[in-house]
Amino acid sequence: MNTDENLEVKLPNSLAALAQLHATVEHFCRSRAIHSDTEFKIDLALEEIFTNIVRYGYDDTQPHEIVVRFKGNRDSVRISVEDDGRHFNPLLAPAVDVNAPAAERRIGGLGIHLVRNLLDQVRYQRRPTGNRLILIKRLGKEENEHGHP
Amino acid sequence: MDIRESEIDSFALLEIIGRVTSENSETLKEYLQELGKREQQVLIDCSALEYISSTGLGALLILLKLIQKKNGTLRLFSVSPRIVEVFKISGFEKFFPIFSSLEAARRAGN
Repeated sequence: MNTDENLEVKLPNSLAALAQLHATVEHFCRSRAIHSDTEFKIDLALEEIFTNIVRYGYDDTQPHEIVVRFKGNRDSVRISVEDDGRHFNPLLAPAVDVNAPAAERRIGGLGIHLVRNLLDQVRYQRRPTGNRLILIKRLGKEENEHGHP
Repeated sequence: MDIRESEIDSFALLEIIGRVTSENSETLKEYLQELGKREQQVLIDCSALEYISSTGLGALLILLKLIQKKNGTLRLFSVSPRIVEVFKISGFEKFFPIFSSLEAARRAGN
């Protein structure tokens, strides 16, 4: 297993690129024998982030590039997501009330709630040209409990 | 994603197959809105549901609200442990009764 190898994918700001994002997550995780439960969580968290950027990140209708970089070692996976959209820190979004009754529940904010709960660490960095989210998923729990898929 | 519908007893039986993403969840939402308007008793087979993100959960929530307004029944069954976890994180496991099998879902409460 080459743990130093990085993987980078540049995606257009279109939901049609989700299939490519999913394929990249799958390739990255399978090449490192990361457990499929962990892959599922990374896949879902990245979709939520990517979708938020595509839907709400831009003030214009021009094509933009979203860059996702994967890096892994034995203990964790680190993923960065960079965009050139308007400055926005999703971690400051109001928390979802998961105890509210169904009639009062809305879907806004649920995506970032999932991201926080599926991953171990999420950090936001404001960049001069946009935003960067750093996502950390620790490895080991699923991998040790169930063995590799 | 594929959606198949049939009937069993007095229930509409819906099967959601594959991956529900933000790219295709609008199709699911439109289907479930229409279903929620015409049906009162709905079972959803999730045995072939591989993946669902927040927009798909939103579509299910719309169906639930439509069914609840009519005092109807909505039950899910054969949901994979990964997706059950997503429901739990979302707080949705409190609204969506999840059963182990079609048999358990159709007999519940009878």
